[in-house]
Amino acid sequence: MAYIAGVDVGNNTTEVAIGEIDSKGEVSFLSSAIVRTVSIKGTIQNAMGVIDALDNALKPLAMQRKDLPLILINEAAPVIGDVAMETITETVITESAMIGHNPATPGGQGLAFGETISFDSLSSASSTGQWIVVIPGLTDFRAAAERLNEAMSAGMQIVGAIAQNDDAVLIHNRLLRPIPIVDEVAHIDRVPLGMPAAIEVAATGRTVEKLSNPYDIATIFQLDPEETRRIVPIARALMGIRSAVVIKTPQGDIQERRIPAGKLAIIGEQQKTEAQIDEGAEAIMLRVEEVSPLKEIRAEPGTNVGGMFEQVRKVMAELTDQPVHAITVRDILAVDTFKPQKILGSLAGEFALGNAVGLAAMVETHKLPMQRLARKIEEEIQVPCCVGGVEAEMAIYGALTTPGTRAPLAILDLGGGSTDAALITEEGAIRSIHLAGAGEMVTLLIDTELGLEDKELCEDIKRYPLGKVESLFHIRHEDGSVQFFQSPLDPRLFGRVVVLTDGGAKPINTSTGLDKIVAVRRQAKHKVFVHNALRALKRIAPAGNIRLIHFVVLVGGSALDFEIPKMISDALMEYAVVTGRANVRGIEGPRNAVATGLVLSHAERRAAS
Amino acid sequence: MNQKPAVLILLSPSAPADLLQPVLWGMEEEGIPFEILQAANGSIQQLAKQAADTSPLNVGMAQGGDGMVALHHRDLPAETPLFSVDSKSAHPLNLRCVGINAARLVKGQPLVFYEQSELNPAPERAPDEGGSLLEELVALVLDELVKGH
Repeated sequence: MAYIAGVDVGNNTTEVAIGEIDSKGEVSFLSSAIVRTVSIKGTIQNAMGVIDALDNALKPLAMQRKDLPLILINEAAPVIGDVAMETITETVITESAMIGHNPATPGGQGLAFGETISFDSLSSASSTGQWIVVIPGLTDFRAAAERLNEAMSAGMQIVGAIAQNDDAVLIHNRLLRPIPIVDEVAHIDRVPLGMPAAIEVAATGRTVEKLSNPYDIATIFQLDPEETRRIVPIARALMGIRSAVVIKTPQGDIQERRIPAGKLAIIGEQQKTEAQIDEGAEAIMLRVEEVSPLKEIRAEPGTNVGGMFEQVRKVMAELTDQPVHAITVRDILAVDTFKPQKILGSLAGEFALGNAVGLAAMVETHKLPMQRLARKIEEEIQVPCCVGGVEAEMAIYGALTTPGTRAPLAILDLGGGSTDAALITEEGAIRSIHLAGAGEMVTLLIDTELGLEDKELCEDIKRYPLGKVESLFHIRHEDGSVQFFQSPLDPRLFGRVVVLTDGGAKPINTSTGLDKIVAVRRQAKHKVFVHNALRALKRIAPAGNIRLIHFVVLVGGSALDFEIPKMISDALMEYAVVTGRANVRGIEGPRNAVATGLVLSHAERRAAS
Repeated sequence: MNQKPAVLILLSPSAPADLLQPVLWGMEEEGIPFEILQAANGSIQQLAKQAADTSPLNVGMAQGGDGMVALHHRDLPAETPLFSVDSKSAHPLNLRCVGINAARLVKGQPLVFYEQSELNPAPERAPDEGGSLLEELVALVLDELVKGH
């Protein structure tokens, strides 16, 4: 009879399983523990976390460290991933030619067409023209209204106004005749004067109709077909908002520009090819499939992706004490996405959606220096410690303790930097694979598409459901259910979309609605996790056929995600595969698979010898 | 007594009501009606709470003789108004925020906070120096590795 501890040092968590092996080689598990991994996986700093986890597992058993005759740690294939974004189109407006923004409270309603004129030169304006008055922020709304009324009374045709302050309704309410007014135009000084302009304010709950239609803009400004083609980006940027201004300037030009984003060299074992990043994700992934199995991918230096490739390789080189040139990028995942971009030359911080490609890269080398860690642990606590088995195999053995499973079985571990999968056949042969693209990629996509530029917040958006604070005392969850609170919520949360983290509700400071954020989150998970799950399973499946895998078990932290397991299960439905979250030993859920596998395989080896 | 859908504002006998003007503009810009009534003496919290309780929109305000303005909601306990601002010392734009917030409380829209709104622009941050960019990148990558899954 012997006690054995299996220890799995993961990127994120360190897990322990303690088992007792009887004389017949039967294992009974006594306890388990989980702590956060200390420092980067594979470094000797991990020892602190390991000892901590061991103590946690020993405590309920009233055992000492010295009661353990052996500690087994996993032999990890070191895999690191990273992500970058390459923008491939942008909208450039030379000579500010439009304002399309969404002030909460524009004034008046309707469409107006006239010539822009500064507030101060109203007195010198002719009474025959139609005028759109540009009101700077220093002008008090009462003075503005008074002056506009004077001009109107004098017979001038004031048809609309553009204001810098949030004053549109206040000005409008004091006018003799109603006109549409767009306000909160931050860079009012950039509005060109003496130019033909159109202004449109839609009714509450409606969006601009004319200025979002290229042909209506063409009608108003008498554009020829070529000019009409060029204003399409403007019309598109104005869709879905409540108020808009379009100004026609003689030299004004709008371009949708393609940005050269560099290319990738994709080198397979038999052949090699090239892909331009601006061809989009689909083309890139097609090439990857063509030359697969991959040996190496190289990116052009000087691009975001090239820089990211260098960085991952450098980190891996440092971690494993190898020269940088010995480390190669082994897999990539490209995903098409949109990036809201400030329009160059904008007046009120307008955005247009540019196309972008997100790229995840993965490097792997042969072995992490886990021996070094084993020696360190042995030194620290005076208990024999050795490397017990290959991580993927151990995870399979652990996962097979899930009730209701048998070989052929595949595990999927959707991590932060990489998607890992392994398969055990009926004969007991094990195959494993690591692919680029996982949780970090999802975070990047969410961040890019929502334009939040807050990684921590996006990490939370990925992990937790959303809600909307509808009153000082209640939140409506994204599924429609309502939660009431005894004490009032923070007024800073009021009316906002919030992420419901374990640490409480966190506001998302954006005008993007809850439904849109949910859609972006789900799409990002779908593009990365579902896509990669299928890609990984195809690579390890017998004859590349997912149908020949009978059981797929999700392990690791992301198996606990509130929606990923369902998405993957939905995608695998058509292959008639039993898919679900692991339940290691019938009690651990998706956790502890590797630690459990270490103990089990040790018992098997002992019985065999 | 007050059946029109409006934010109710109760004034203490000696309240400096002219100072309240920016608050009213805030509500007007947001398109929410208000009604002003004279009240008997009382604590400003109590008056504001009374205003909120009476308003069909559940939002009320009060201004005390000392110029303090409190914004209240019917569901909040009397002793804790949502915001209190001194109309004698506060910047007019800060007072306007109180009015905007009274309206947004009715509309269920996110509130504005004077100290972080565009009405009070914070000094712009200096652009990052080139040298620190690499350091930042390295820190970011390391950070991600530590976070792992």
